[in-house]
Amino acid sequence: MTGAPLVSIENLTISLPARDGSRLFPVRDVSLSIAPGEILGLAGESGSGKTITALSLLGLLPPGGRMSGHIHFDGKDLLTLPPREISAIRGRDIAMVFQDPMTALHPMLSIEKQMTEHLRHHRGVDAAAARARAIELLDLVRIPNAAQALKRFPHQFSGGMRQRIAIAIALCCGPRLLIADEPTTALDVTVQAGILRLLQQLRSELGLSVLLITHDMGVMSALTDRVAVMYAGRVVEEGGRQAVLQTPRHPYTHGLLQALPHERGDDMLLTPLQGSPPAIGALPPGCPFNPRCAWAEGRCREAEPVLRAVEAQRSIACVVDPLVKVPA
Amino acid sequence: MSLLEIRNLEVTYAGHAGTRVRAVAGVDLDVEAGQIVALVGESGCGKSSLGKAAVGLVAPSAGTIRFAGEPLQPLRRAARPRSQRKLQMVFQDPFSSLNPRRRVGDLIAEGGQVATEAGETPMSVGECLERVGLSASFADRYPHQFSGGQRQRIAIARALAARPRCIVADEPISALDASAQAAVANLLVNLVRELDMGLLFISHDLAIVRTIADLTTVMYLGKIVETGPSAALWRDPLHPYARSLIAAIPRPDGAGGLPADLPGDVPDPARPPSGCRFHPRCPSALPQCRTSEPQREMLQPGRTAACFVAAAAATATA
Repeated sequence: MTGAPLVSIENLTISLPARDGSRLFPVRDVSLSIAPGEILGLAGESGSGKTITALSLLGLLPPGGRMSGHIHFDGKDLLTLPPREISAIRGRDIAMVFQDPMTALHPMLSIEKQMTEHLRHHRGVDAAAARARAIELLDLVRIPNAAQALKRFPHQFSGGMRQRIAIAIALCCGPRLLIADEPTTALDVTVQAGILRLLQQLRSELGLSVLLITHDMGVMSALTDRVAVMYAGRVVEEGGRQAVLQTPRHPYTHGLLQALPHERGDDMLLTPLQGSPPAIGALPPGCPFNPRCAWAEGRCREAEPVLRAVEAQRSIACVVDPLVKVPA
Repeated sequence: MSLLEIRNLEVTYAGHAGTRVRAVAGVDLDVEAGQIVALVGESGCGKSSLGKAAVGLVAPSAGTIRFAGEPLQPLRRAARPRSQRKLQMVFQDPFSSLNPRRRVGDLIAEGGQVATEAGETPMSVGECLERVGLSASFADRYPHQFSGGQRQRIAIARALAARPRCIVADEPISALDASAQAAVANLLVNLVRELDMGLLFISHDLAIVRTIADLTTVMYLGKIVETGPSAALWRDPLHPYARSLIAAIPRPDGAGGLPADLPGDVPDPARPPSGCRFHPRCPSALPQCRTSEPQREMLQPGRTAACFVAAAAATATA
């Protein structure tokens, strides 16, 4: 990757207060970067830390949450900037789209109100200009008959159209990074295909960077340039989309892909991962994945492996590296 | 006579201003013992209404449902006839289908009462838990102490306690992580085979359906558009709608291609399009598709589709 990344997260650790007064670490020592116009996918099971990592970019942590490390956005460290500058960046340059467009949109406000209020607040434009911009954005996300659509309410749109509107609202202030947290999980596959196409188009038309959180490896494959896989609060594998999905090297990535329907001979198989992910307060000693790993050895129970580069553009956190393809 | 036999079923709801919405508009479906039949389609196609009618949770407005040879009575306040208690349901969200204030063992034992009242020995709580891959010692815990996948196993264990002959499962794995999905899907397959139950598996996830279901039924706007063995339907879908659904699934192959989208939304079931209900979105619609409605025909052995284009193609190759 050439050129400066738009976002660069370095050694991010997030801690939250536990009931007993101790602290839990849902994200530990995570480093990620996203280039301008790049789509980075973040995969992993529920509880692996993907969503909280993304929310940390917006400073949206649960009460009592603390962060350490660095989050550079366009060269500025979001964790050390004065609050006023941070909120300017967060409101304008980073936007988010959530899983469920019905709860992300206000049910009692017209689309016009929801879109223009946002524009007038962050951009300080007058009502007519805000309305014109809102129509432009609805056109951009392919909502037919945008001027009419502004007068309507969320319940008058289908799920896919609502998600398009939520994306239009996210684009109001011209963000440079869009965080999309499971943006198509609540939608039918036919509608999902349209939203994926839209995100792809927005990336190429606007040069938008996207952080896409999904547990659907099909969605991951359709949209991303690079993929990072999280487990128990850490990145365990990172690399180019094709490399990670076609020849996964971390046993966890391999397991996630085997859990999807796949062919073996004439049969279709589903091979679930054994066990369930550990609770963040009760990680097993050594590699957090070792109790579920078919290749675990004695040393996997001793020390937690660090993420290391194993080939160009590919890192894994596994000392055994059982899936490496030895050149013939 | 099938274990679960649905004939010409209609489910109608009251819409705005006195209109009637036919969510299920005349459907025939059979589930045999030891068989997994999947019902797939977009939201709003009527698959959940069909599932609810199949267990008596909504009353059909027309048509018949027979379970083990006897007509099914819709659920009322009075206890349902004993013969029908062998038909059980598993819901989508195990966070709302399990009472959070009751212990897992009590929840499962309640399912077992059904068998007791029928003069049978219910499956013990311990056996139910072990059958779904959980430890018998979990009986003393509460639902919140389990993950989503484990909760769905508990919901299945509760259904099993009644020694069911048929289970209707409405999106039983949609709320779970991919890995838990695979585990619960495999569990359902094993239970069906071991206990010789019938399973009507309602899902929008065609990739999973292809893996576990013997037969797949595709619904669109209240009607069945295609049925057939899952492998054949997936490999070579006959109906353009089934073809579009399969093409829209993103493949996790790392190649990076966008799946094909199917433009347009499912139309309002209160005002279904004339002729073939799919024609406004159909890439291969003919003029006649706008005016007359195709009937479901057997186009290949064991495979039916309701489509003029598919029927013409089948005649041409025959």
